[in-house]
Amino acid sequence: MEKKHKFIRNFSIIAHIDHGKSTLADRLIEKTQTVSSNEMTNQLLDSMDLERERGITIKAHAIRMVYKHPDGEYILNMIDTPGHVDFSYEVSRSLAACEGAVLVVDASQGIEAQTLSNLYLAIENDLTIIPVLNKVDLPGADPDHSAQLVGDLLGYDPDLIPRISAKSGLNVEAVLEKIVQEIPPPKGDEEAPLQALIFDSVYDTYRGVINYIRVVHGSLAVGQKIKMMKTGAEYMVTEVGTFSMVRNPKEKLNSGMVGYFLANVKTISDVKIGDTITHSQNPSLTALPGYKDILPMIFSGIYPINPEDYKDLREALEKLKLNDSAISWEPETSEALGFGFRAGFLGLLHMEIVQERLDREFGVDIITTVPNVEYHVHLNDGSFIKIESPSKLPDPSRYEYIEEPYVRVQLFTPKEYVGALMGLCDEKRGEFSTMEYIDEHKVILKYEMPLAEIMFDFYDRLKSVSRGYAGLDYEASGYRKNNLIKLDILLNGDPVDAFSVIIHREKSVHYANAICTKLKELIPRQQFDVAIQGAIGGKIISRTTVKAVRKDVLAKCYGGDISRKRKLLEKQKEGKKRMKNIGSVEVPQKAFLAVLSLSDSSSNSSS
Amino acid sequence: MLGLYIHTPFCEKVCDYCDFSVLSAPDRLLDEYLELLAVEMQLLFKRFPDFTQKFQTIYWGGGTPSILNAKRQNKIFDMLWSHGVGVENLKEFSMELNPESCSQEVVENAIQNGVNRFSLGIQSFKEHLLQKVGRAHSVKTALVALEYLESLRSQGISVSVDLMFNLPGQSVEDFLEDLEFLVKKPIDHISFYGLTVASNTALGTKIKRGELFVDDNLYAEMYLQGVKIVENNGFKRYETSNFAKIGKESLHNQNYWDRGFYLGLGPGAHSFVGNTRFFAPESYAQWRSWVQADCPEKALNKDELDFEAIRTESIWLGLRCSKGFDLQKVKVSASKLKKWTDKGMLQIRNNRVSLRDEGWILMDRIVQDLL
Repeated sequence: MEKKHKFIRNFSIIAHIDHGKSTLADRLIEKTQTVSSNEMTNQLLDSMDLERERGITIKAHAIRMVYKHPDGEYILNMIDTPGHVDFSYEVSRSLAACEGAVLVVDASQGIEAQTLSNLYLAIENDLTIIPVLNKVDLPGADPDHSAQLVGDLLGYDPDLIPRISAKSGLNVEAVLEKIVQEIPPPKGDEEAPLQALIFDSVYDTYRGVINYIRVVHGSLAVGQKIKMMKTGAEYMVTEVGTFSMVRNPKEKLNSGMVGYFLANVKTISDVKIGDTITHSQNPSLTALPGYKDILPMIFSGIYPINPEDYKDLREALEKLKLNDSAISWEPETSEALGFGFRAGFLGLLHMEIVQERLDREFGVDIITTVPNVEYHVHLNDGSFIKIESPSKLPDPSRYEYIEEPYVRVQLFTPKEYVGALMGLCDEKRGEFSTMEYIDEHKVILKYEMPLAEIMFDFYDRLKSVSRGYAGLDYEASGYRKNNLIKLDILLNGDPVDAFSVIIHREKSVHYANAICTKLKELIPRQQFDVAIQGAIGGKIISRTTVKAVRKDVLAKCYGGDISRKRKLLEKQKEGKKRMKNIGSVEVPQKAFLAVLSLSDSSSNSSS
Repeated sequence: MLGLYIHTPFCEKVCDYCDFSVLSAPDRLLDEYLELLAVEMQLLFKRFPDFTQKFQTIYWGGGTPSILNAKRQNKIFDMLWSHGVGVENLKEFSMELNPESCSQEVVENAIQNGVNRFSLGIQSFKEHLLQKVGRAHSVKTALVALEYLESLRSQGISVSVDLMFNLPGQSVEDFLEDLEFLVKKPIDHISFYGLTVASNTALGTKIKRGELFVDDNLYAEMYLQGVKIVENNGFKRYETSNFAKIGKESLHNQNYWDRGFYLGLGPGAHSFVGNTRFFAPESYAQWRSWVQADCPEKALNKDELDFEAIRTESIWLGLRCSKGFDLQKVKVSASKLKKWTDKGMLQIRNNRVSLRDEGWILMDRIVQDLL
């Protein structure tokens, strides 16, 4: 059995965002001729439209390559991983299916926030790490310096680090060679009872759930009856195989292999990512360690624009959860928006991605409400409750105080932006901890900050004050008591629960003014005046008005105007579909996330 | 109905609000234009051989058709007749005139060649407003031109005047005075339009820079009061911006709103045949290259109408007209109709849905709702 394993390598590619993971993955696919060159489109592995558009990897993707080496043919199972802080859980899942990781570092950027956090994850998983310096051909690259830093970090001889350009293909063979030489082959007992880890899954309308697995012990073949150890569900395996851009059915997956299986699973809840599958007959007695449950950091309401779509939305969420196990939700009712869900996300990007996927992949028109963190409300009787939605906050007479979650923030930045970043952190109620030098140019700033403050425009502002150079990483660090109050927004006198926020008292007036002004821009003129007010416990602290419309007509329309104008009407009508009636006021979808685009006004007033 | 539109894309001076395909041009360009137009006409008529003799209306607009002198104009008339455009079918032949180029030579020559309707772009009777929007003529020139055209009505010539409102610096009184003055004149037809400011125009730039200001809040009052004035003086609204004495409506324009077919000639001129709307390149230079390449069909901008698009047009173009649209031909939601009839903005008579009162100023909103 050892012989079989000798020619298998399972590895992930990890990196900070934009350091070139997906490009390297593409080159490896090309060099191993896994896909013929005329099938190559850029960034093969970023298969979602969304990933291509945003240029980031969101999901882990697995692919099997065959590398022809003088020693023999190696099977390389590669898993591409996301690089954004919101998606570290995806990375940790992938790593559990591997023996090694290729750590890509941009030679012009050096070590960045996610370089470190992904590296620590890899070390935690006891993986062999192969550092690679990418983009060495760029004018700003400093490979010697970066090699020294990376070498120091890993205890790796800087001279042995491959220096490549994934874009041009320069020296990419060296990476393949390193993978073969340094990453150990999988250990596994082919004869032992089956233990295979489900590390991802997607739903296919025709075939049911497609499960991505790593076979640790034993083997899995078509026709065998299997059991999901956590959920207890049993299925007959209808297909097993590996991936090379498309599914390649095989007779059998042996221990050490990465691949997939189909079992006509239509009940989505039977599949849990991180679960172990084994045979129904001669089962394994123990499950693999699996994954830690991931706790959502931020919460937001998701509502169908058309109430009839509620069921479709629930189904879409269930299908989404199959390959995005980090999302969680429970039903919620809003006076303004009707029946929907309160969903938990890992971060703002994660939330945006989920929204866009619901819209694009599942075709459900949704409204998402202003995101918020989970608050601990300490009641008069000494007990405390957790609330995920401002509308659930009890009357102020019923509680003593509110606590909010804090995070330990690490900012990686060239030293010239330290001053500007400190100003930003102060404004965001940050508490300075330490500053450490990574090298003579780069520092890590550490802060304790309310999660609510980094949730909105922090990342964008961070990028803008540092000209794009600073990076961010954070982890939860407990709850703290603060002077928090609930701010309501009223439309024509009626509070709209979906607009309510919990906010620090000192920031409330400024926020209320900004949001009322923003809503005035976003809410179209109606046939009557619309008053927009900000209120704390019934006291109005801010107000704007959207004046009634008295003109909505195209004066001139002759033969040459008809096509253009008709298309405009159709577009406007499409826009109307995305409006929600709150009382008699038509409110556009994007108004519910108005707070996310307040950054301009808030940065002006605070600087 | 079948109409023909001819676009002459030249003006002595381009108005500040104009975002049309128009330029001020030397003589050399005018002659080149006429040659190109002849080629385009020949090729277009060849593509639609059945149409040539059946045009019932011709509309010659721009730009300023009157920028062409009689000799140049005759080239266009000769082209039409030599292709067999049938004079006997022609019910209406309109020509746009600007006061500054409304010469006796041009007008008389046009009449001799069959033009029977003139549309004069006066826009305002207030000198300072004309200057603000960069018109080339003065009030005095406009009055002279108007008086001349009035004198031709005894020969069966129909006269229409264009005014604009909601101009920068224009008060409600300014506009209503213009109308009170105009309705007393012996003319057949009035069009008045609220100014539309396109950002890519000289006027758009001035407004963006804060040099001029258009008070949108005045629109409703100007329009609604203006309609009252013209309707109290023998003109009837038949389209949102068009008012005519009985029987003097523009047949050519009515055909657009009735979704009748038409062909267009000249840069950016639109055509509508079957279920396809199409138009030639809009800029003069691109149109020139296109004609020089023998008007390749695939270079046309095309808009193929599906069922939904046809329905949209029927509702929207129908509602632009006082007669509205036919409920038996176009289905719309009864609850939506009720919503707007309850508000007093729509009315249903003899199975036709049409706008009323304030509905006219919120037309687009109502249309979007009914779609």
